[in-house]
Amino acid sequence: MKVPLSWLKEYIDVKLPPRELAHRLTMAGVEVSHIQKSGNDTILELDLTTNRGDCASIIGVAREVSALINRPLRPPRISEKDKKQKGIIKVEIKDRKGCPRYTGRVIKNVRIKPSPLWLKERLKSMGIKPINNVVDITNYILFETGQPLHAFDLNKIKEKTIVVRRAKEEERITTLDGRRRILDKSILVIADGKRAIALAGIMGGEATQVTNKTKNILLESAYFDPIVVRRGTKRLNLFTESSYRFERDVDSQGVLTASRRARDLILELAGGEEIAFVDKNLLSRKPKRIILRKERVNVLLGTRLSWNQIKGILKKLGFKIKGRSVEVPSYRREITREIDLIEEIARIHGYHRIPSILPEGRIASYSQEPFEKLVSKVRKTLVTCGLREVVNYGFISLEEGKRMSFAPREIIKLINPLTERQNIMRPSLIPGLLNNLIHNLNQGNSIVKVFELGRVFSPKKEQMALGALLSGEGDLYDLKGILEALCEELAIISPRIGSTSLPFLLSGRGGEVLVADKRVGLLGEMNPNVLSCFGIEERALVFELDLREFLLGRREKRFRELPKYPAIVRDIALSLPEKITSEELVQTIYSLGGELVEEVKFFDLDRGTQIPSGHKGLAYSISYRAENRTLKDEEIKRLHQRISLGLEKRLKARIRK
Amino acid sequence: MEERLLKIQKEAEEALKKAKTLEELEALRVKYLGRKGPLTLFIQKIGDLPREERPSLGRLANEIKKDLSREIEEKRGRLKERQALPSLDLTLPGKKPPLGGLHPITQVLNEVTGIFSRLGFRIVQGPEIETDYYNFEALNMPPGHPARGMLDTFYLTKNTLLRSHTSPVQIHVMEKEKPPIRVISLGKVYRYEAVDASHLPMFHQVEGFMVDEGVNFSHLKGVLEVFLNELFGPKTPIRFRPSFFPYTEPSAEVDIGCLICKGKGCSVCKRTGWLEILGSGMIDPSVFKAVGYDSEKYTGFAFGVGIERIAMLKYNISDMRLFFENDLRFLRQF
Repeated sequence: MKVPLSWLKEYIDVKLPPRELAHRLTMAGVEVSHIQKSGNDTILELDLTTNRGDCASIIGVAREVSALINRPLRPPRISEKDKKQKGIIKVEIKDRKGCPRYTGRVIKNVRIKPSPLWLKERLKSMGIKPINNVVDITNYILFETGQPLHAFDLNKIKEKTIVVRRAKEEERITTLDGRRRILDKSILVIADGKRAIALAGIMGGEATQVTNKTKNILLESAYFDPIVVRRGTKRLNLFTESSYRFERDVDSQGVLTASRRARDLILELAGGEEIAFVDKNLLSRKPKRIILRKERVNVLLGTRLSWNQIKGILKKLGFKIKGRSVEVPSYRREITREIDLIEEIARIHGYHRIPSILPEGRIASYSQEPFEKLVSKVRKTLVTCGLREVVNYGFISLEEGKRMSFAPREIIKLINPLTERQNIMRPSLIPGLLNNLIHNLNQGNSIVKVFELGRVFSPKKEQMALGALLSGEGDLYDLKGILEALCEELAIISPRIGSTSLPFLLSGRGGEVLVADKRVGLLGEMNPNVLSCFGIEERALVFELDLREFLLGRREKRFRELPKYPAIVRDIALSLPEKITSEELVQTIYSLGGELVEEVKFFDLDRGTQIPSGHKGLAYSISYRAENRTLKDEEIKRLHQRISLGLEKRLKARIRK
Repeated sequence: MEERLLKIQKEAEEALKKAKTLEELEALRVKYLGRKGPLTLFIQKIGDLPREERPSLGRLANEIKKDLSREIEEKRGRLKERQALPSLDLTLPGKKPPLGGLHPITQVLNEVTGIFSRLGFRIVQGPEIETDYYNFEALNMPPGHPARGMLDTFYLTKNTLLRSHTSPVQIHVMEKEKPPIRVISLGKVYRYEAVDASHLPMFHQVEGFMVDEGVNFSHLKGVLEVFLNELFGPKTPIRFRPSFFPYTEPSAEVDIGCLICKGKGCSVCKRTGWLEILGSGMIDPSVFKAVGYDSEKYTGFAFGVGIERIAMLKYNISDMRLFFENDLRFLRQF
């Protein structure tokens, strides 16, 4: 909304410099977003909040300024007589909710011609192209009063009847912008005896517009329902100066004032004679009254305002006060409750005059959710492991979902996606991480080690997931090591990697992550075919966990006494058939060694030439310790020997020297 | 006899531990292993011993001698190596361990939640997929409300949507708990908005609210001033100006003095000298009504702040899209 200061000054005597005036308005909730010089004039650009339709006019802003600088408003002089002759035009309202008030005024024998210079200049400063005197006057009054008007060519109105009704399905109209529009029942129209001739509150129709040949006009000034107009503009994707104001609610009393003001100007600039006026008014004429309590004002604001101060503020804004009852002016229909009055008091008193105090009082339940603490620990651990955190969009493309072979029934689609690239909610973090990999490879970042914590979605639930990706450096054991470090730091039971094959993982190189035999996620090398679909030629290793499930494997951390007696460490190197897993081997060592085996630590995997084919070479350190005594070399020598023999016998292993 | 040998060994090893220089070490070697050393003398005189003890004692003496001379040589090696270390070109770069790091958005979120934690607020999470009721209706935005237009929304079904702000968390918490309440919530929010340098269809918000008897507008000001001063520095100018949100009344937009031009007016602050940083207000009675609170008894305030905007101002980032490209060259800078 533009406000040329020269225009504003017609209604209020304001001498403040533009910057100061802009500041005062902004600090009262009428935000001035720009101050612009235009010739000798200065134009303020207002950014109005949706509740302040009353300021969508020059007089409206003048009213606000009048309250702020404590000077009287000078509204234009208007002749208050209307010609109430009947029979010339008939008005019928069929949608009383959509249009509770409609006025029509007939002016005969006008002379259509260009507007005088001053009027043209005013419209230009508002960014509107002058057309002819009658149309320009309706636009001028719209800006001056905030009440949109429309002038019809009376002779083109069939049967001299105006019907306000909903459009019929597929009803057509060509609007003033020359576009043919197909309507439906959600749209309110002005019709004559035969057809729709205007979109109510939005735009007039071409067929009945005022042209150079027009002699007689019908001047419409009405109140259209904000919700109905908004639905119409959205449906047609058509937003006008008129709809902007109806959507924000116009002054129910201003309907008549604006019509009279326009008539005065038309008679002055276009000549002619007013011969009829119809006013169908279903709006309540009773002003709204609200009870206001002084204590409530101060309790809510933390102020100590007196009743006189409160009254002073409200009076300046045009409210009338009788006892504790406050009467709301017709142009502030959004004010319906005590709290709305308190807001008015606060903003005119000035937010800067309300003290700043830290609250005391009762302690709110304060303990942070344990989950939140764990999440920060997860982040910290992964950062310590050298991973960078990434953050991706919550949506991905259906195409990416297909590449990953996600089950269609697990996918949530957006009804109104912005683009095809973001049309489903992500069921997994992996596609996002792969996109991060592509981006970084394209930028020449060849080593990518990243993780993400974020929600993933399925029709049944929304859950917190943790995903990680390694590429360009490290192998699956590095990735598994990171997972193990995470478990160690969070005191989660050490995870096992299962062997169930997953469509996007390379078979034999990944599977589900199990904690205490429960499936909590997956880990493995990405299937190269899937990577190719994403346009990635490098290898990529990933894991993804359901974070809540994963954290359920947590135990409390408890201190264990440090051992009092020394440990003896002996290495063992062996070759054994490929199909025997390290896990099996370690279990066998524990069962053969009994309670003196404290820890079995892997340290080498050898596939060198010394190892027979179909076999692998593994090496471990076994640490022996007793709780209550120092172990003797001799006994450990015997025990180690027994374990070696046992492994040879049970697992067909061969001890290597 | 054996005890004498072991005593010599113990003595020698203790002396060895104490030796600090090559000279001391050499003196030690001469003392214990030299021609007049106790071990040499012992071996020379082994013939004086009873015949049956000679082999084992001889072996032991020789073993001790061998061990000791090996240990002396090892220590000599270590001492020599330490003294002979060459000088280094310390202008060569160091070997940096690979560093991980948190996303700048997480870092700002942590800072923001840290400040509110110290003020007694606790973190509560809410779902990203919401219903129309929680996102709009319970927050005083019935169907057709003009403010719905400001929050253009992604829909999943007619009734479910991606939350367009974190305010639904207010409703979830108040439905379950009674005052006193001090809560903050954080996370992703979604808006149906075309992408450019300052608009993305997804960004992060922190929502906070406090409800109890006697909570008023001056408390809102106090808490937010502490917050902004902690975040942007103690001398940052702050102003509260009236605004409009359907779920608060009175509502306030909070501005800070422009960090770039220090209030002189620049392109970042559109020549106003001020930057809009958060929206806030006293919780509207209609919101209390939706959760069954008595708005005559309880009052409260709420606020919401965009995290990307704060991060952009703090780090002088001009294009919001960088946050979700996740270019490592970008991420490494924080």
